[in-house]
Amino acid sequence: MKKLIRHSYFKASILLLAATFTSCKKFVELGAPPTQVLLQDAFTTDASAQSAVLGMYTYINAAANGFLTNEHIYPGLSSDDLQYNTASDPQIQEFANNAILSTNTNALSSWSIPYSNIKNANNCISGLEGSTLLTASVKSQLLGEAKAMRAFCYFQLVNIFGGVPLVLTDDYDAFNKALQPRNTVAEVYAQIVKDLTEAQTALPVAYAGTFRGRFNKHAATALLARVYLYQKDYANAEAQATQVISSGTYSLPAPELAFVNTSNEILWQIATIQGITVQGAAYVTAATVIPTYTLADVTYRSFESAADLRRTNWTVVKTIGGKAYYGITKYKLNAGTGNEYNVVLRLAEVYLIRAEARAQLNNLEGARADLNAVRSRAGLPALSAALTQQQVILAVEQERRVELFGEWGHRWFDLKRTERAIPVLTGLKPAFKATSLLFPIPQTQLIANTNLVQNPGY
Amino acid sequence: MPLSTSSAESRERYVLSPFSVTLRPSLFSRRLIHVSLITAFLLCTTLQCLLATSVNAQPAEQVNITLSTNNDNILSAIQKIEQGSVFRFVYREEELHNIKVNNIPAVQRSLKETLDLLFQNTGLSYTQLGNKIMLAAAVKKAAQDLSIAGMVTDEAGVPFPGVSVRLKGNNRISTATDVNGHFNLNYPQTTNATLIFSYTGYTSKELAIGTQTSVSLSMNPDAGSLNEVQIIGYGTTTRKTSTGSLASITASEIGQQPVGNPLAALAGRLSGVLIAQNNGVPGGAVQIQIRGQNTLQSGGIPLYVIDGVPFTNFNGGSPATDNLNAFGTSGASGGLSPFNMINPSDIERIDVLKDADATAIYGSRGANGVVLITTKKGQSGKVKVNVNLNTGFTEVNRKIPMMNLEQYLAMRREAFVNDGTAPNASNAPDLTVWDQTKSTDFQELLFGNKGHVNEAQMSLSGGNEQTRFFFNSGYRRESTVYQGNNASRRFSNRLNLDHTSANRKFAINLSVAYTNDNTTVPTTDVVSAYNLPPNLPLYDADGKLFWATGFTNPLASLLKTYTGVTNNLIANSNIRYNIIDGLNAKVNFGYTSNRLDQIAKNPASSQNPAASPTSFADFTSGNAQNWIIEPTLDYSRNIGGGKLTALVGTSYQQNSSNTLFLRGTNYSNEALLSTLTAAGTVTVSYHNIVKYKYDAIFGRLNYEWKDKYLLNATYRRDGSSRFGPQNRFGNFAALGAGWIFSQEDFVKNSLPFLSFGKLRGSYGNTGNDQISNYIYLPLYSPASTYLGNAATNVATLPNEGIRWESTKKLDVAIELGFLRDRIYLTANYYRNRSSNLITSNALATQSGYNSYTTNLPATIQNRGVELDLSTTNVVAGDFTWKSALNVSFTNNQLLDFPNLASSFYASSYVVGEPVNVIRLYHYLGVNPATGAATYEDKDGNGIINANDRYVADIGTPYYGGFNNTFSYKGFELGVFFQFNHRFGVTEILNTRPGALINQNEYWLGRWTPTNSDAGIPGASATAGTAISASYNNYTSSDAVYGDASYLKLRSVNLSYKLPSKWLAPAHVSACNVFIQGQNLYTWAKNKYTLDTETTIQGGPSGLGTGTLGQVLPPLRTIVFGINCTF
Repeated sequence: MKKLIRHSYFKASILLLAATFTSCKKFVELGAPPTQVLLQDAFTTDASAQSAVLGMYTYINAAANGFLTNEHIYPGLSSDDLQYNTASDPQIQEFANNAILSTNTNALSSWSIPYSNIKNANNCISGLEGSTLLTASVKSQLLGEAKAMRAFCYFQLVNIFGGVPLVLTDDYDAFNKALQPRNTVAEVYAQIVKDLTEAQTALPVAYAGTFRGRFNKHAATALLARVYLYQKDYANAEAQATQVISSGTYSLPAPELAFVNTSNEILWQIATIQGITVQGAAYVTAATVIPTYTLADVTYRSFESAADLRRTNWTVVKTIGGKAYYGITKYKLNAGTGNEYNVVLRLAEVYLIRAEARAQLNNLEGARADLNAVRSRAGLPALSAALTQQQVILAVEQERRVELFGEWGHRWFDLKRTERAIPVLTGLKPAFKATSLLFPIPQTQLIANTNLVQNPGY
Repeated sequence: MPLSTSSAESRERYVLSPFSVTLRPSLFSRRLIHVSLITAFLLCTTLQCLLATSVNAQPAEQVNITLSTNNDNILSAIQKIEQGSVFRFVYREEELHNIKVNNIPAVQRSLKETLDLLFQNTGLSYTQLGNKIMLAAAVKKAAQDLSIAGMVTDEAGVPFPGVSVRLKGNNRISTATDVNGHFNLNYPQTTNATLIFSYTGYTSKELAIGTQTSVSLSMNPDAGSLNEVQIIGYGTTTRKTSTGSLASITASEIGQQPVGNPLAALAGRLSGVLIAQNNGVPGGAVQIQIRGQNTLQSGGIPLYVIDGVPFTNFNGGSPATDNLNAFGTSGASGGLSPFNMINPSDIERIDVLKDADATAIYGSRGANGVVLITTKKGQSGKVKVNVNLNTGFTEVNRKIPMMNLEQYLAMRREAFVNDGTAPNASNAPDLTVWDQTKSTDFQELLFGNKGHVNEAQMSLSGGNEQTRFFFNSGYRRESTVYQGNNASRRFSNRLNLDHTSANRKFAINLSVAYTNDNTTVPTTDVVSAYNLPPNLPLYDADGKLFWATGFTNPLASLLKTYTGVTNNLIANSNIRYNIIDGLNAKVNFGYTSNRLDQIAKNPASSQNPAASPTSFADFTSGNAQNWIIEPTLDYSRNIGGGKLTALVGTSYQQNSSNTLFLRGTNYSNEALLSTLTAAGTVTVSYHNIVKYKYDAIFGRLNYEWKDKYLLNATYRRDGSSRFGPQNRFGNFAALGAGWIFSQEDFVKNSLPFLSFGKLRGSYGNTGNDQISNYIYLPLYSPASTYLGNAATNVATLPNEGIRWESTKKLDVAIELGFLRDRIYLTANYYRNRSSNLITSNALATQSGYNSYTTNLPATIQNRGVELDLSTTNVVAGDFTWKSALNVSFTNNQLLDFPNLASSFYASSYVVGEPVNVIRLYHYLGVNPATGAATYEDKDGNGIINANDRYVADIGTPYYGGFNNTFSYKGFELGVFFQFNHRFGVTEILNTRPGALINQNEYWLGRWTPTNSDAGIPGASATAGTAISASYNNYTSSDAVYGDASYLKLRSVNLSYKLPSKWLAPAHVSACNVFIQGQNLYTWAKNKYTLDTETTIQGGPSGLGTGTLGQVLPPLRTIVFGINCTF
């Protein structure tokens, strides 16, 4: 009996050990942590899918990654839009000198940050398209937002660097994506148009959420109008701009109210938590402190009238140490809490898009009407009906210069796309040359992806 | 060679002659060092040695021998038998003197028959114990004799045969325990009869019989002897039979050091183990590196095992750390070591496993070495109460010689003259605004106080043969050397219980430790402000704190306080059931729970009022738990003249950690900063929850043949939740072998002075999974909200293919004992090669990520030689002197890195150089005309840039420790030195001389127009001047880099054991008074640092290489105390 017990203990122990061995595999399986959600599970409910899409907005809004600063300041310095007063950072000075090194880390973030958000958009698009569990209207709205965001990021990239690799797949393909070569400018634009056209269809007219902080149909349309204009497809540019303007949703308030987050001019703005913008933080300083970045003297002097409300309201003259500095005060706040978000698309630009398209299509009267809409808000008289087509086109350029200064590198992009950069900047910017129009592909990227080819001149 | 038992009481006079030996390790022939060794010749005519062998010989009736005797006395007969068989006799020589044995003819008989014939009618009796035959002369039992029976067990509670038992004062009355550990002794009636139990390699014990007729006791091995039990993974071994590489420290060495953290007591004492404290603030982390850096970026934390149960606190944070506040906030101490929760006086011994043979049983977690901690267990017998009270002080043992006010101001003025600019209120308030007559010694002000240490410990221990207990309760309070009411208080309790059933088949061991620690310190280590301008005012005219642009008033920093309260529970149990003879089933259970609540207060009054500051406070609450279950089966059996031991087992472990970090802002009153309720706004900084699961199956096969040949094979298959499904499991194995050549007859005969000799070696692989959790999973993580709605983002690129780092370890060693092991030398060579290194690799950012975690095919090699020498130098009467020396030579190398030049790491690593390689400019001296530093333009292109740098010597070519213990009567003195030869910064430079900051006295020798041939550049106050610009490369040049070696008098312990005649009337059985000192003095090549080895994460690479920004050094601690046992 005793022997048997011993025996059974022995057997039982062996069995127990054997059982524990076999359960090994199962034991170390661990799902997602309680604080995170698996990529494939992120698009199973409306709320979860929405949070992934909102992640794109918070990503470009993150002050730490500098996107909102970079995309305004560096192209601005490269053109005759902004000037760099402290010259303390040699890497920033390189933009002002049009002598950017491929090792410039700011140029690197102009490359990397949009791509990071394209990654976010790609994950959303692939997750949303693969999901069958979402409410149809929500899915359509979110998909539209993700495509519009992807288009917006590619738009910035193609205008800063030229043709860039078109990366359109989700994270499961990350290692292949990292080795893709550059696409042509036309291919990138074709994708942007495709994304925006689809977004336009998918997005509703009504804004999701508050404060026009997310893409709606009109915002996507306005961006599409801009894209057509840049491609010199004037008929489509005019048609898209007309859709926005004739919707009657937007109007042009007085300049001092244009950048408040409730402004009816805004088509799309990137909301911040504190109601303070990075542009405000970069441009607005105390009365006695020289702002790091100010409006370039030439641009300030290009206002046709001292009575231009934009000059009186959107700039401030600070004379410090006997020298005048022209501070940019479109945003009024630089600290604390407030009511300003980062405006990306606004009605004035849409008028100017249509004005230019119409001028190019030789609809001079229509063009003048659109220009006058913008001018009258600025307190300027209507343009003379005697202007020639060429004069109207130049009037558009001038109007864009004084309307859109300090915003999103508009001036730099305008000079490039209208081939006016060389006549305007030569002489004004000593080191400027034709190859300065594209920023260099960052050195680290050429190392990490040997399929990339550097822009000429670097 | 005649054998006889050795008498523990007979003491020969041994004298040692010291002489010097030069060691030339071929591996480091470049760096030849001379090490003075103390070694000895024994002036003694006969060697007496008792080989303590295990019981595995055949019974006497089964062994046949042929013996003839003719008028032999017993000694010559014994000699004949020993020559012709494996049997050895144990006897007391004087007992056998002149005894004749019977004459027997040369016929083959069994040994039993032979002995019976031989001893018939001689009055001799014998007992066989394995291959030992114990002889005793028959003693006539007197009528008044008393009898005592008893049982002796070893430290593991296993019956102990062959232990000599004799009556104190009468060596003729003696016996030895039988195979069951039992003995029976008759003795004449005397008063105060006392038994002495002795066995070679074990501490002799005395036991007063009193009126008892039966006794039991357990024997413990001598520390340092060959039979000293060494703890290994899932079992034990002895120094004699171990095939692995281990380094150990025992309670006596730990107890001599007044440290709060047991790891701090190890520094310098273990070969191959580099230990550095991050700082000297109570609670601060202690980092350990065993045999070099094995990885580029993953964790290098060894596996800690307490009483057989892994104690893991690494929860996947980055950089890898096992600090309790890896998630959470921190005070001046920075990282909080989990070992602050362990009372050093609870610890019986710490064994560090280094090679593959010893570590492969821990598989994936063995790559960085394993630290096994064994806590004290109860001793059966009368309940013993031990009380230890001590008190003392702490202070900074070394200050940096800084310029005084006059020298500082002269340097500043000179700097402006050199620059050709004039000082004004904005660039030189020290020369134009501040009082130039009043100065502050910031070192004295900030960390010149004495801290106090008070400690009280009480332990109870006792039990019977079946059940034993040990309870220890300790309180330790340590205040800081900062100003203000800062202190760390620890209350720790431990209960260890073990029980064995009457039939000894079932045994359970329970241990529970609960520790509460409450630490209040400033939030930042104010030591970093040591170099403020000496005339920086601290208060303004109104008596308020003074603020100046660019300076933080250090007194304000002291107003920011940190309080951390830790509650730590460690509960372990080991259950053993003996199924059949030799087969045991065991289960280890372990549970650890740690709760850490922290508050870091930032009152408005501690901030510059110019920025209209508001008060805020950070609150964290962290909960980390882990449990583990490890069922094992072990089997041991004598097979083929040897002993086979087999072990199989599995392990299941789960860690979880949950940390909430809240910030309270908009406080109405800074007195309310302790509570979140008073905060106007509360924001969640993060809420971190991680889980980690781990399991394994493992096995070990061990065979010891003829006590000479040892073989040990281990295998383990590990699964970790940190890897993706296809790479989750890793296989690890090792083979170790040993040859105790001193057991061979030809060695015994030709090298009689060699008492022990063993060659051993091992090869195997181990792994590392100290990386972040969930790397293989694509995850959306919460991001900041967007217009009030929750948002998520994918933050890192997953890599499904991530797999184990693996380290292949080769180890060869020779162990030599001379003169009955009075001189014991271990020389160890190892070579570890780590590959599949998990690191972050660059990815083109068009993928959306700039890097991903992957296994690089690079290989790191660590190799070295470790020498351990312990000697008993003098045993003369009441005086003994023992020494222990260890030296470790190390060499770390990046062996291979395919495509390094085109990788992300092209500028970080160099193949053939250490992984923490640094490149320096070669300093050519000062341009006598300008006072600017000049550097060699290596590539001759006229520009000094990164390409002009040379790879510098780095690392610690050798390090070690030297311990001496002297005892005379009741006095004992221990003196321990630690030394480190290494390369590093030799002169600290803050910004540049002439800047608005004080400098150390080294810079008094700088260039001036009148001292134009100086070796040190001149002073400059303004950025952009020629002198100033020349300093840009100065601290990355060899001007301030080189031999930064040091020697530390790490600890001194003097104790006096009060004579028992004083104590007896008070019923005190033992009492010691002692004085102990720690971190007493440092001799260092770099005179301008507070400490030579403090390491902070993110500081210079390499463990223990010092920090350029100064932190509070490990403090000189001197305590006085008394330790009594009742």
